[in-house]
Amino acid sequence: METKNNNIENFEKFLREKTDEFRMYPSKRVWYSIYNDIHPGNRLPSISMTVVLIGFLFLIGFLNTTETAKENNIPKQDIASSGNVVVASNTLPEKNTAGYSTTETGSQLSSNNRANLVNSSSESNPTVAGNSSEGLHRTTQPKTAASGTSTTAIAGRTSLTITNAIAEDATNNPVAEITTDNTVVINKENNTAAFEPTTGNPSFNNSGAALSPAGNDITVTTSNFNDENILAEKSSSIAAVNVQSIDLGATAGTDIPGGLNAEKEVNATNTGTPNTDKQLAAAESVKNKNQITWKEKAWMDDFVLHNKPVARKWAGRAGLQAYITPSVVYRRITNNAIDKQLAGTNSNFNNFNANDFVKHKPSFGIETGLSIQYDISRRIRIKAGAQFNYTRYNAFAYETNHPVAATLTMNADDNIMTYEAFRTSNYTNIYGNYSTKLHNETYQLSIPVGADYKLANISDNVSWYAGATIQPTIVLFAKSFVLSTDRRSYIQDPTLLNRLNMNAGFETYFSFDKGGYSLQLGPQYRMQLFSTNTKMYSLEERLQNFGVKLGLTKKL
Amino acid sequence: MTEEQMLAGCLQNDAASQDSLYSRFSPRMLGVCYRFAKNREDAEDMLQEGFIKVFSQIHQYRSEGALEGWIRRIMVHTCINALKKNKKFSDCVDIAYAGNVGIREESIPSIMQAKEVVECIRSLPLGYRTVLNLYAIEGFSHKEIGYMLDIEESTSRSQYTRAKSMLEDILIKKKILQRPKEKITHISAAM
Repeated sequence: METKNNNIENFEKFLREKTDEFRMYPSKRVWYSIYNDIHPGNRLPSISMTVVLIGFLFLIGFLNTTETAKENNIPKQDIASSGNVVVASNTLPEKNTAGYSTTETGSQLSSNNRANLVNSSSESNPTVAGNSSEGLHRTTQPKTAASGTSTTAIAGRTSLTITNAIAEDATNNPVAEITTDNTVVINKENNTAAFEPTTGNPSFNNSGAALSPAGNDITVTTSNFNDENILAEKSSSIAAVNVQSIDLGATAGTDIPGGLNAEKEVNATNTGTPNTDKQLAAAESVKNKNQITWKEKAWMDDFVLHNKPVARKWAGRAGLQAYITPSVVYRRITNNAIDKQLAGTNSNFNNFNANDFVKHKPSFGIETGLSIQYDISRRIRIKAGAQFNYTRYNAFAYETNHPVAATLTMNADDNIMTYEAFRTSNYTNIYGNYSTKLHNETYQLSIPVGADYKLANISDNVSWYAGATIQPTIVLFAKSFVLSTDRRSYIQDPTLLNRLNMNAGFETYFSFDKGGYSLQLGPQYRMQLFSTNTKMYSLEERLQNFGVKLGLTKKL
Repeated sequence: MTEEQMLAGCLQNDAASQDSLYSRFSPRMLGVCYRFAKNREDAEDMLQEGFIKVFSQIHQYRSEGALEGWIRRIMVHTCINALKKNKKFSDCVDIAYAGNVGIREESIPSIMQAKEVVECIRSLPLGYRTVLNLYAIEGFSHKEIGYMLDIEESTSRSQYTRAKSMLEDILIKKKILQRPKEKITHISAAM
């Protein structure tokens, strides 16, 4: 029994000793994450980069929107469909332009976008332009691709090649070095006793660790590679190293046979003895500094190399989320007329708040989609995906049995003038045959890209996040009614629709983790950054959604 | 930088001191985390969380014991908390489950000494190796282990006995340990 107890004690002592000897070197990512966590104020670079990225996305969205607006600036359909497009003499510039017939002179019409407009010399008797449909065609010059520079990529650890390794000591004699990246640079002339020249293709020697620079054809065998002091001494005076690549001589998916074999290296640690006084002094110096030797370091690196986790690097960090956000959709209407004073006979309406003339009610909307999430640190998660959006708000109006004339205040594309375009409508705002409810609705597809920040860990399984996304959006279909100049009519005009838009989403939510899944629940605010309609229309409408987001994330 | 200087710097939230402390202790602490973790990545996550606790609670260190021991305790508790987040872990430390576990020969790593011992420990079932790590290596009592893992003290004892037996077998198969003489004698006597 006593013997048995001693054995148990010895066993535990043995385990303690062996495990105490065991060390691993963490990757730099760990320290960076710790540093960011304990010094949150020093995250400026990453925040700046995020701001730049979001700004860039804004710019792209803005440019796309501007392009669309300009393309839609030609009111040819107005002329062709109704034949009622009239340019009031006091709203249009008076200048002879191609296709613009007038006897008066002026200086304000500079764009040939008006080529299809015909001016009337009499305000009370407008002239119909007919089917003049010559429009402005914008052409985009093909962009010249910049010539790129070729780059070299190292694909994985299994295919590396050493060529042209150069190392020099203080006396400019080439020596040897082992770097922390498993890179071995050796000069065969100064280390003939330790390194054995070979010929042939660079490859690993099955009998031991062997790295063969293609140019110099040097192989390092395990038996010759066990004197740490030679290399420690040499490496201390390395002046320059130029390593282009390393060939480990193994194909992808296979283990490296005997490559820097850890067992042999550890044995070498135990048996390796200094050969000279100088080497002994060097070894002593290393020990005095209380530092690990290159061999221990190489062992650790080798251990990492051969014991990479089977799991994929992104496993546990990535997740696939499906979500749905029921919401209430509001809209904000503001006057965007460039020239409120010269907007024709109804110009006074441009000076009043359009909301005072209408009766709009918020309605429901929905957002649903899939997103890929990735935890780049303990607190920050980036995400991107595809999202379908439905928005709607209601306008209370009256329907008439016959069309009534109406005008729309439009901004000229020269950004100086406004003018009125004639339309007809069956929906009025103040009277009609019977009341009706108009649904202003859009069907959108967007690509939300953003990030979440973990604000707090509520408990082991519950975390609190805040997040934001930027959402480039394309409007697939819309049924949108716009207000006439006198605010008395609702007109449906698809040509005024802004097909490309940009939205921003802000959310905060609680995440409940359970097994490999997490459930997300929290409020979300989504705002449309650009108007529903193009800049050509004088009223700017921006939608705002307030919703509750429910998401289910599966960790990948 | 001495340990006192590092401590003083860390108390003032000095990044250089924190870096120095981290550089000094992280290799050994990662080794501790690695023995508990499923893989290296999980071990690094545990290490990261543990060091954040170390730096945020450094003012609670009273200099009564070794700094490394204090840090190590934090790391172990961090590892246990991380393991307990996984529901499967509680099943693994259950004695009913422990009776049926086995070890596959091919899962035993074939490498050397310290690393080999660690890998042999890691080849044990999760519940076994956690109890073994805590009792045999970290020096916790079975009562403390029971409290930490929410299991009975007797369960901890039983788990450890089985873990130790299994680990001995593995180490003997790997020729790291020799079979105890009394066992050989016992077998000889039986024959």
